[in-house]
Amino acid sequence: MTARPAGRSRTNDRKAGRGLDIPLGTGGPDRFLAWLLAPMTYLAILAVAVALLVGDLLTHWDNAAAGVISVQVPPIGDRIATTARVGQIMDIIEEVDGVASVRALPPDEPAELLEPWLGDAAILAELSLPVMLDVRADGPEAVDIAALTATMHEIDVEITVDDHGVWLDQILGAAETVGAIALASLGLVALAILASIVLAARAGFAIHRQTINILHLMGATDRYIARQFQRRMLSLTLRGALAGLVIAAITLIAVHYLVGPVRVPLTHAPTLGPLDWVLLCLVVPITVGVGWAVSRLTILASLSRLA
Amino acid sequence: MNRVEPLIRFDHVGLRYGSGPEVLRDLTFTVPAGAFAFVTGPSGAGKSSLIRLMHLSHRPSRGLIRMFGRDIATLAKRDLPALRRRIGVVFQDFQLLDHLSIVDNVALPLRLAGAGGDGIRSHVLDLLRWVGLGDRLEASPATLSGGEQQRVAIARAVINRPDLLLADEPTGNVDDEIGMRLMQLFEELHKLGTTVIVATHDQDLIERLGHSVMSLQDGYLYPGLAKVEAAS
Repeated sequence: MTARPAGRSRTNDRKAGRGLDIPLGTGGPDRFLAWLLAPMTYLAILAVAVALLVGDLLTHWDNAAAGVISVQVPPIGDRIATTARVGQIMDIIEEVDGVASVRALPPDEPAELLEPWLGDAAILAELSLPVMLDVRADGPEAVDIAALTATMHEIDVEITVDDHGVWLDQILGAAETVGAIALASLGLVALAILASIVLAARAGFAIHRQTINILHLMGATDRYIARQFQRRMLSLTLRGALAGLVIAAITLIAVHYLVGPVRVPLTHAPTLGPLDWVLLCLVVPITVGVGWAVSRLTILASLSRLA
Repeated sequence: MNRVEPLIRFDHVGLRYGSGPEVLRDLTFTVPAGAFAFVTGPSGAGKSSLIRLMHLSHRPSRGLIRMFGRDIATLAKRDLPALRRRIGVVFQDFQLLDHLSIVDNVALPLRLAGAGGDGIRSHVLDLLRWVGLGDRLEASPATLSGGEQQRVAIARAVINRPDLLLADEPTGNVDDEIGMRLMQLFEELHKLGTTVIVATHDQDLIERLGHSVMSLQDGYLYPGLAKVEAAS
């Protein structure tokens, strides 16, 4: 009697289980593991990329908005009167504790910002837009916003003071939620990868139980048998993870070129830097390492249950 | 007087599979190192079960077994591989690995023992030529006849010059000439110091070779207490 999985040619057996005493890859579901791992690794890399991009956005928004205050002065009468009033208000603001600088945005800057929503900047120039003052504080909480608002309202209750706190908190909260969802997705994908490897190893063990018994009887140690599975798993996870990385890289590069030209005013365009790409590439060795270790532990656990 | 412990010692050993009846009952015998013994008896007498106990694939249901100076019942699982590598086994159903070539099947015990290099291959080729399979080196065991598979199984069992060689009906599927040639191989190993135990119901073979005989019937050993003679 010989130990042989049914329905396979010996040529195929030798190709699949090259160099192995256990014909792993013949008649077992582990052949599909690489196909399963490719999309899983792809999703894991995309989840990491989203988390990195969100982190980049949060850092920039936080830095950009820290200590920035906008004061909106409604126009009065003609342009000369408005300019005089703005000059007076700027003088008052410069005297406030904690203010580092104050500048009035040129009329074309607000028009440019509004252009995507309201149309041609030339038309906007004809509108009576409020004057925007860009106030820079010494630090994030250096200026007492309530006191500044009260001071402005003494001049005109229509003047608004905005430290960006409300909208920034909302946007940061939303971005953090997206980042958390990306990390949770990464965790779920990691669990799915683990489960796939455990199931493939267990299935391989069950299918090749007879061969494993023969090897045991001839003096093979549990570690020797586990190493056979590890070698096979190393090959499968490497192939699957590399395929996932290539597809993910193509996706991210495509997204960069497709979305890159879309310029959203007042926002930082998040990008993946060289270090980010290194981190994304690290998903491959981590997947392979996890596959190697998990298959070893699974097989050793299965062997320990044998008499 | 310096007392040498026998290589194998069975003391009131019984074996049952699961909750079935005992297939081996109250076996008590010793086999000294370097002995050559036959285990004989009719079909179902327990010959293969006794061989299984001796190649450590099963543990006894009761009684004491000592082999290589170790108590088998209390042996840790992690210690089994090292002991099994000292034992060569010719299984009744051959247990060859069909996905490996004949050469790789025969070389397997050497690989498991950590041997490597070209020395292995030339050693394996010599042995395969000796058992008459020099022209089928890369063939799959599945393409061989029963007798050829048996010769591969024997070559695999003896390739690493085991301390103990167990063979379960090793000449059952081969003609007389090949059978005698294989037994000659066993004799050569025996002369080199290997303890050989052959389970067979071939009385002609037993009479021709004239070694010690343990006779099993219904799981009992006749006579009830056996002491296999040491090699002269």
